[in-house]
Amino acid sequence: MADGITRVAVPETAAKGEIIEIKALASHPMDNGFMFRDNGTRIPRWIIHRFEVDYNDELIFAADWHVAISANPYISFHTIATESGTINFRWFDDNGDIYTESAKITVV
Amino acid sequence: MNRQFPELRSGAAPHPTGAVSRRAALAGIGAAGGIALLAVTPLPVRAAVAEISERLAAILDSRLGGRGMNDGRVVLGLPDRADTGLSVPATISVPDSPMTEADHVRSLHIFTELNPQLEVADYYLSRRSGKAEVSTRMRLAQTQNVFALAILSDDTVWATSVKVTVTLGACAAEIFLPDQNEALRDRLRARGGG
Repeated sequence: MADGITRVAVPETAAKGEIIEIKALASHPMDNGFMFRDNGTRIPRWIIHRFEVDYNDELIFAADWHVAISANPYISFHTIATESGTINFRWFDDNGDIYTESAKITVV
Repeated sequence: MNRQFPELRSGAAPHPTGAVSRRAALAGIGAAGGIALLAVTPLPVRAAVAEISERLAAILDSRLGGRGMNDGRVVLGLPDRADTGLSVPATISVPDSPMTEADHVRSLHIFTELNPQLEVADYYLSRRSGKAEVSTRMRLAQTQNVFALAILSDDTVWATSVKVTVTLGACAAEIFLPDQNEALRDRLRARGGG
């Protein structure tokens, strides 16, 4: 996305039926709510708690994340390249922010 | 609070407290799931992994709705040792699953034994996944066992565990290392979402 908060890696082309690996990374502190600043105030919990991926508008993968996921959460997973189109990614955080990213894939 | 494992479905509405919205999204699934699961009850939860802690057993009992677990099939790839627990690479997979419509992995789950909160991640797959393998990076508060569960399309549950020795736990590391995330927090807040 233009703001550089999220990045994804999707193969530009794939053979029909091929199993492809997809990687996604978001820049996020994933504050677990257990940490304190130097002045003694608690850093409130603020994590991305849900990640969803659509392939041509069909949900193909989802994750629920908890506070033990590291800052700048990285994930890789697999899917079958079924047809050309768009893969859409959504990250939902505790503050109600949704970060989105999309990638085109050409299936030959 | 019913927090069993749902299937792959859209449904996490953005909400100030993520845990609540997820639970709300799951309400109703548990009731339907619980009935379906009564038929498959092979082993008590504790039989699969001998050294499972009481805290974790309580969570698994509740989330599995009484289903038993079997040892094996799911593989958890983690380093034996981690210098800090801040970011430990983990791969969870079921290498022998054909991932067909009739026989696939529905979900994969990671738990710790001794973190402040034991749940780490829940992954929802489908027949379109092709390969049941997910990689991530996780926090470990201290040396401990990490547990993985796989729930298959036939409703069986498979489990494994791996011990990771952590030199500097995530909590200690974050105390000793300066907080480098304030600029990132400001940047995310400046997006003006929510």
